[in-house]
This record gives sequence, C-alpha cells and structure tokens, in this order.
Amino acid sequence: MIISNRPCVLDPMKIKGPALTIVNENCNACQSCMNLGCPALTWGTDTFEGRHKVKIDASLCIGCTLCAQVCTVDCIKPTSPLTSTPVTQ
Amino acid sequence: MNAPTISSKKQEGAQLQPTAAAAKAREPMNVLIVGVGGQGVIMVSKALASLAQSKGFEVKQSEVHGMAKRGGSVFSHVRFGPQVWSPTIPKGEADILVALEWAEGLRWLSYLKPDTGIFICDTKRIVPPFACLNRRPGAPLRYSRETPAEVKAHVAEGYAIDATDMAEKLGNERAANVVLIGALSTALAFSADDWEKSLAEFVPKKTIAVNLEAFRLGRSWIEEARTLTPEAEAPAARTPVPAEMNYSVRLEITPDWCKSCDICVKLCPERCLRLNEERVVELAQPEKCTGCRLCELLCPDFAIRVHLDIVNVQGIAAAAAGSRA
Repeated sequence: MIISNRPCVLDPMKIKGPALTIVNENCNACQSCMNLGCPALTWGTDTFEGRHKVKIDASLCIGCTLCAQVCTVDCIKPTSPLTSTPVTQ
Repeated sequence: MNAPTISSKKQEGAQLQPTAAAAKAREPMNVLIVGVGGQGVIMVSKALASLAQSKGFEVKQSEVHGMAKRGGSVFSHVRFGPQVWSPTIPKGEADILVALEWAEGLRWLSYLKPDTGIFICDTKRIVPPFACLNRRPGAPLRYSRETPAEVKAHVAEGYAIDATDMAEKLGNERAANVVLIGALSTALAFSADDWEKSLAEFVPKKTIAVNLEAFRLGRSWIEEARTLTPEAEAPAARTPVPAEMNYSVRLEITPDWCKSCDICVKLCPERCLRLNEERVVELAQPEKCTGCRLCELLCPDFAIRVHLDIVNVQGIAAAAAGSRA
C-alpha cells in the first residue's frame, strides 16, 4: 500500500512537459536520478566505470524535470517536441 | 471465503461421480490476467467478463485498483461458468494465465494448472527502478533472466508474444493488451465477432480501428505459432550474469580544503562518510563505498578525490558486451 503526503507527481496533468532525455556521453552513472524511483528511468546499455548509464523511457516521462534537477553532471535535457533531440543552449 | 467453496465442490463431486465429464463441465473457467499498472489489465478482464456474462454464464471477477500511477503489480481473476462460488482463483487452478509483462507472468506462474494450463505472455520487460539501484561496478540488473524457451518447458502450453512490438508497428503501443486478448480468444469458446463487439465497448472510441486490427493480429499470431513445431525454435541464449568486478576505492581527502559544509556526508548514497572531531570529512565505512564519485562531484572545494581501480578490466568489457546483447 502506498500512502503519500502530497499528490502523486504523475497525477496533475498540469506538469506535463516535453519528455527528457540523457546526453549519453556526459552521464557518469552516479545513479542519483535512480534514487527518485521514477518509473520512466531505467538502466541503459552503456556503462561508465562498470556502472550502468541511465535511460529515460520517453513514453512514460511526463517532463517534471526532477531528474534533471538532481543530475550532478547536468546531462538530462528536455527534448524538442518536434525532433526529440536534446535542446542545447 | 474459500472454505465453503471447496466443501461444496467436494459434495458435488461425490454426487456426480458416474458422470465425471458432466462434473467437469460444471467447473468454472479460470482466467488470470496479470501485468503492470497502466498496461490495461483491468480493461482485458472487463472485456472478457462482459462477454462471458452476455453469453449467459455466471461471472465473478476480482481485481486490484490504483497501482497504475507507480507501475505496480496488477492482477485480475475472472471466473465464469454455470455456477461460480468464489471470486478468486486458487493456486494451481488457473486454466489460462495472460501476462502483459514478462516478470509479472513469471510471478504468477504457480497459479496455472500444472498439466493443462495455457500461459500467454508478452515478452515486454518493464524493469522497475528498484532493480537498478546498485552502484557497484558490474552490478547486475535485478530482473528475471529466464528465457521464453526455458519457461515454455515448464508449462503445458506456453506462448511468448512480443505484443508490445506488434502493437507499436500498428501505430499504438497501448494496443498491446488487445493483441493479447486476440491470443486469449483462441483458447476460449467465444466467436471472434462476439469478442470484437465486446472490445468495441471497452476501448476508447477513437482507437477502435487500431484495437480491432491488434485483436486480429494476436489471433493470427497464435494460429501461426500452433502450426510451428516446437523443435523449430532455437533456444535463445540466457543473458549472462556479468562477471563480479574486483575494484578498490581510495578517497584522497585534503583536510585543509574541507570547510565542514557537510554536503558530501548528507548526499553520499551509501552513507559512508562522516565529519570527524576536527569537523573534517573522513571515510567512516570504506567497505560500503562503491566509488560512485558523487562526493567528488559535489564538494564545492574539491577536497575529495576518488581513486577507483577496477581490477577485472576484462569483466567490464564482458559486462558491457553482455548488457548490449
């Protein structure tokens, strides 16, 4: 049973943003984002120092940017809705 | 709740011993549908239950709600027949097990009738986040390693369909559950037209066309799979467990640069750092340190450097190749 003390992040459709994606070269596999328990995050196929790099399932990501906020190397970027490539400044 | 059901069944069995076939016909059909929240488990069971009801059967259904938000484990028991007493299926009594996700299917395998049960499973793998939490170099994914061929050898009749992939090719990933309904429909005595009518009632209006297509695809897939001889399938290789990696971690701490800000202590995922009496960081539990470099990245004054030596370099290459395969 799950008892939460605030609304589920997946619940209000208001926070629906563009899906996020990993800039794979920069990911250092620290797994900080995995600690969030987001269902859209899983291990990818690449590794860094033996640890698995992370992958985002675009069909599950609602674009809440929580993972981007905890990323230590800032490698989680929103995708452009048209091209689904990372947006770079 | 189950106790009276069992006793009444026993009595019936005693009365109808000469006509064992008649007694068997009175037994309800047990269909167990399992999957991950959000895949449409309940929709599958609703379509089946309403179809069975429209055909004059007594239907009992027992399901779990509210798991969709977190990708939880969802099951739905559907029992129908001339007379159904209990709404849940006992272990080892399910005639058909429909699984919308690979590991969920394996989780419920013990509910299937060992000698006649039919196992229909999507090979879609939804790996939960807690299966990917290990930071040790070369850590394995904590997810089922069984191959479809291995599981088929355990059940009387097993089908492993890549339904999600099939539905994706049709243009809507979410129709995967209807592909599995198509597969399920071949194992039950209802006509395809009745199934399609029932489906049209339960899927969203806009997606009726793609769902009916998915239903027919699932049906034809099973018919094709039945004609194939089991020997024709080459047993797929099991994904190898990556070799355990030997590694040693050494933290190089420059005490003069540490300003006791506590960031590394608070954010170390393994909780292996602490501030000593001089309020300078030290590695309190070196055996717990995985060398994830978080402290090195987060220290504002660069007082921590992580030296990670991975001894088994071949293991890394093998693990990388294994995880890619």
